[in-house]
Amino acid sequence: MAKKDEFEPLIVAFCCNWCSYAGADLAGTSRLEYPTNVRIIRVMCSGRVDPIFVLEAFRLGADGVLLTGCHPGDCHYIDGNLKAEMRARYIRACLEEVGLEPERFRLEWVSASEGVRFAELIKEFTETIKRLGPSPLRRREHGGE
Amino acid sequence: MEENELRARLRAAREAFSSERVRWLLGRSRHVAEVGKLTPEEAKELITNILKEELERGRILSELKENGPLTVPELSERTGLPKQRLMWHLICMMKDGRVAIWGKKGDFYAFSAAKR
Amino acid sequence: MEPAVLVLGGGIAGIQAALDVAEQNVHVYLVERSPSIGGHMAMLDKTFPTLDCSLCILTPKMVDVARHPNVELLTYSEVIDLKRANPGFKVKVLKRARYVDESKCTGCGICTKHCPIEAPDEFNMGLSPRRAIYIPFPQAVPKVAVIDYERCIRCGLCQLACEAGAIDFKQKDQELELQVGAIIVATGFRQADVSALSEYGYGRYPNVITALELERLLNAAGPTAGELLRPSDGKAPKRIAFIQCVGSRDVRLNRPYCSRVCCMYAVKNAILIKEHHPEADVTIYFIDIRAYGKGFEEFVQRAEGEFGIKLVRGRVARLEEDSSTGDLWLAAEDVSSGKVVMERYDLVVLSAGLVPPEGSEALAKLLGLSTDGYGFFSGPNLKLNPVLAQDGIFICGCAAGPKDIPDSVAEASAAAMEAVNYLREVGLL
Repeated sequence: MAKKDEFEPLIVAFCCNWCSYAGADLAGTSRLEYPTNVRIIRVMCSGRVDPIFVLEAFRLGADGVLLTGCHPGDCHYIDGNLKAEMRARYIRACLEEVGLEPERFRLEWVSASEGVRFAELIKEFTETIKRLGPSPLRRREHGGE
Repeated sequence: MEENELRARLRAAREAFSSERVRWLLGRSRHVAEVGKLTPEEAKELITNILKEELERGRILSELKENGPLTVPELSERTGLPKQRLMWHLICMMKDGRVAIWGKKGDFYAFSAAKR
Repeated sequence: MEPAVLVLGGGIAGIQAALDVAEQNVHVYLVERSPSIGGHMAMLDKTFPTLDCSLCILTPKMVDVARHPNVELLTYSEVIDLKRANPGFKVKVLKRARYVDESKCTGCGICTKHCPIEAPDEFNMGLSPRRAIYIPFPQAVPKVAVIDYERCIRCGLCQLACEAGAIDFKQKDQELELQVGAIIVATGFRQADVSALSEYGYGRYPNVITALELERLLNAAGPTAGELLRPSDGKAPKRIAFIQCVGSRDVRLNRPYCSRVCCMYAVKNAILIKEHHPEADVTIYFIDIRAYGKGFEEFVQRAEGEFGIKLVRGRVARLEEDSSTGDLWLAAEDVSSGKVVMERYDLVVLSAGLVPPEGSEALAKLLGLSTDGYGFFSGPNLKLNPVLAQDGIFICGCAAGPKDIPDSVAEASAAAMEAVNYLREVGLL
């Protein structure tokens, strides 16, 4: 149906300054194409991201939230990304309890040299969210159920 | 799920993740995982059980913050939680200093979010 | 054989006995099963008939006994074996592991804030939470945290938080061997289990509570900061009924005796409710009002005259809950009018009787003590020597039968005197 085909997910991505943001930047300078649905928020470290940020993003209407950081062992602040990994478990458990699909949140490691990987990740995640459909908070806008 | 219900639950989740109990557990999770005597399954169960409880309490808190002092029957209508469970949560939150008895609304005692 | 006395039980009777023996320059072991001394008196709000604040008069004695140079306090401990040594006794005491080092713990309580596990607080009759690591109550003696090992998940968060490094999961139970010349049994009582009386619906109807639960609700340090909220929905109860002799003077339950204190504590509780809520309608349904002690009769008169508390002579047949409101319908006979009354109440308080504490039977066997058929300890000549149980073993307080605080204290001092005399008799002093 026409209306449903028009669903363009709103995705918020928290990207750590040293690795994943640089990776996103590399994707840009390499002129790689990826969907424009993502809004990137640069943080100094994935460990800066409080679970509350993710929950607020969903509360304010995000269809999907991505958290990207350095590969384990490469964190500029030693173990910030490990903290992010621990928090991701709580976030997923919380989303399940609240009634949102846990697949709407993802944690991925992207290094500064992985421009291609970043673009692929965005493409893939956007597809996933398209399949899941709009967040229940935005269903009205999309002629929802 | 109904839009307003999800919004209320996400507000509750924000309260839950602001609670001392969750934040301490969250902050020390790596220590618990590495040094504590819990297996990964036990750790997951612990997180889920505590989140469940704190989400209910977060719901109560956010209702109180949004709607002012409320009685137990009023809270029961808004949150869908049974009254006795509400009483237990309220007493627990009184002990932590998150909630206080505000006064009476008619014949019923009303609770309010405590000022920090 | 040491010239020492073992006091079993750290309630007001045990504390008094220990103090009196210690003042005679005799060494005392005060063994208490729970993590803190204080007993039931520590849970009360005000005491009859003076309306003294219970903890205010108890805590000085708790501190005195803990600090006394002749007293060795063994809390979270139990007697597990006993042999006569002629003279005296050889006693094995199990000192249970708190998993907290008593010498390091400062009682700051930070550990309790970090523990993620909640459990019903026994001190508040299960009406409020405590954590798996907890300090029994703010005035606890010793003020040392204890870990409820069954609920503890060994997450280690308390250990991380403790700045004194007092948490020790490797701690083990200890067995101590004591030599004592005499024993004073002051093991107290337990509130009768009133769920057995199905006609009152305790356990099924949330707004039917026991006297001790009311005591904690009224207490400013209790679950609701002293506000009387009824358990089902937080309503401020306007009409409250007390039912007397629940679990006492009851042949069905094999408890035909009178528990002695319930008439007075019910009147006291009724007065406390009226002091908080003068507009409340409070009625006590009784068989008799037993106001036998000093100031008791005047106290009851004051309750009726000054506070407007209604006293109705008549047994309550049953309680029925109106499930939509949680209110209770009470059916009773009013002996004065000869009619059966059906009244609606917001909250009903059962004045539960006093029964021997858990483990009394086993303790009686271990010590070779006789009991009175209801589990209270007895002796060869209760009329002229109410505190003598056996050669070298003395009883006092509610362990010997229900009684109020002044009587418990008096018996404790008597038992202390006899214990010290006994030590002289057998040549230990």
